[in-house]
Amino acid sequence: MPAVPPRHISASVGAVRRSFAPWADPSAEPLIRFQGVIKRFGEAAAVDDLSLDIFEGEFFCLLGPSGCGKTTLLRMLAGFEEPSRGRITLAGQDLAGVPPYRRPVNMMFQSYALFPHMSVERNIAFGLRQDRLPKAETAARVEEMLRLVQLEKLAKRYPDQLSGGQRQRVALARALAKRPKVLLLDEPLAALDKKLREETQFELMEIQHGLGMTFLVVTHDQEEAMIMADRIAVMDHGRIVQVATPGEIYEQPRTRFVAEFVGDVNILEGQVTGRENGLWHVASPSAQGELAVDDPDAALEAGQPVALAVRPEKMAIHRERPAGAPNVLEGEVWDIGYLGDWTVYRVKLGSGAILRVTRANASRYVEAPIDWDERVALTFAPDAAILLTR
Amino acid sequence: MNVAGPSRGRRAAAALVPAIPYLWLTLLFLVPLLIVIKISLSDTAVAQPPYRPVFDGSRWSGFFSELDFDNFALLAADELYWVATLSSLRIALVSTVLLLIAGFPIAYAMARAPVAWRPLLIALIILPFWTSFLIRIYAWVAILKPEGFLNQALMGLGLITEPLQVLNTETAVYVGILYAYLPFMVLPLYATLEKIDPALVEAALDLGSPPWRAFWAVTVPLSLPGIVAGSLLCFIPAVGEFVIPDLLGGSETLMIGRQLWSEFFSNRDWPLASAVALVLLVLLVVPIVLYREVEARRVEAQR
Repeated sequence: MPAVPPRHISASVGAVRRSFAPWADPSAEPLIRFQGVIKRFGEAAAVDDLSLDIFEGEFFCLLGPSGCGKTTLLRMLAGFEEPSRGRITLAGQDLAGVPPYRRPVNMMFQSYALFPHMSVERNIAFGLRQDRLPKAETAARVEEMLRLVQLEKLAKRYPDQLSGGQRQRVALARALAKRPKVLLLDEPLAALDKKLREETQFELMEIQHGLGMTFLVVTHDQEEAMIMADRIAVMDHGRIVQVATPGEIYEQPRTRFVAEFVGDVNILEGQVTGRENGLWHVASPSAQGELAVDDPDAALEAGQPVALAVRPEKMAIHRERPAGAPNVLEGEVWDIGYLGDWTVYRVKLGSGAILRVTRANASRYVEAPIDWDERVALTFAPDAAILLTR
Repeated sequence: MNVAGPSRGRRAAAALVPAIPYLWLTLLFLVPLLIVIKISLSDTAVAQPPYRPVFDGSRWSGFFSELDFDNFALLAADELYWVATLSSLRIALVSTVLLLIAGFPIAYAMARAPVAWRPLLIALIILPFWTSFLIRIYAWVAILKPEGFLNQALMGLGLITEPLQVLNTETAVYVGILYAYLPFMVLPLYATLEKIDPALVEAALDLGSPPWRAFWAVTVPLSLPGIVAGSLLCFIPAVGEFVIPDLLGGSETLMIGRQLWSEFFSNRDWPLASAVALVLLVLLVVPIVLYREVEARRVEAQR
């Protein structure tokens, strides 16, 4: 058998800082450790036996739907909640019983929680004053923070005289002013409109890289997590489902939940029939023949039920059934959504399943565009799909 | 299609609506005030009504004739009124501070209680109003008198052997005011405390402020409007309070409201009583105007 060349996740070259991967280094000491942490509110466990290591300098995102326990996890690190069981350590120090005002972490609140009776500069200086820093040093640090978030001109304003974006910056500056070991950000961009949110995402990344500080962000917005994070932990029902880089999360989701929560995905239910030449063969009611999948990480047995997952952009749409292509699915166009950069086709298969296929609009003119109700064939390469059992 | 606006008649009717409250205020506030001013500038007389000159409605100029400031001069000259006024202000001030100390924790606990409980807690605060104010103060007489509940309880517990003389002292006046005015302190405090985002206190803790410092740096300044409103709501009526010092206080408890009452009913000196009432009014208008001034400047500063 010929040696299989090593494969790389496409995104791992561009988006992630190539040299930065302390999680892959077994000798690296994590900055934050959650060990078997459980948090119960009454009967319900908001965080359920969770272990997680976060390394110094990471931009780490906790991603999950509302109520998955991500905010509770953040609040436990800040000291507003105590774990019911388990240990949280920060730089080797056990945080049990340490009150919020003695923890070397600062939080940027979702509501920003700016003090309405204090000007911008007094808001930023608040934490420094609690430490009884000398006046000159406080003033210099406030100045530095104002410069960092480009609010020098608004130092004397009050929070209710600021726009939403400006308030967000004040909240960031206030949380950064004490130079915490870890900055906790609870849905930092949720209150901003789409355009501003995108700009701010990149700004946050620049600030984090510039300061070399560890950022721990909670978000329900997968796009936000994908853009900003070095690593993402996907959470569901108080547990971590997968921790990986954005590229791995997208291209190698461990479960159906991850595949469906992060990005769009088509799922075909089927059954493993066997393995030949390194390709898994799957029988599915949605396809006439067997489907072939090149997923070397999957550990399966013949007869096992399996979910075949393919991302919409990894499928191609054809008017004619291409000859000799593996993995062909036939159906008719149910819906077309034109987004400008992409066109989304929703194709109904004979089995009744509706799949999403996207096509980049690389040229401005198309001679005979595929139309509604047309019979079409969908194809995907064997290595475009992955097999999921959970 | 009718493009014309509302008819002239309807517009006139619309203009009349805001006139109604002004008419109300004129008839029931301004006119009586003018009458009180007039009486305060008149002289007493053994007659019905007991002052001169009486305005009989025949000549409008008669309303303003033969008036002088004798009563105010008398007030200024007689030490009794000075002492009573100062004593009223002192009792009202101390009561307001006590009310603030007692009311703040109650309002704070209410504002932090589960949302489902809050309507019940508010109802409990308002509940005493279902009983007549007078009856409730009389109940305190029964509690505080030498053979009353308080002394029986303390003696029963063996804490004291002789009954305490609480009734007819200034202490009893404080007890009465504290009891009767507590809702007026708690409700405005609760209203402001409830609106404070709990995340603000968390932010203060997060930035290194221990709980008591977070309380002074965040909770107290943000509840200032409630503190001021509650204090005025208690201080102003407490200065003129008459029933509580009359029923619970002793003969040495001098309060201007009580003085006013005895001038009016015991001495039948309406002009002097009116003068006392006006002095009291001016005394109480000053802090209200000051408060409004400060409040207006604060709102302006945040623009």
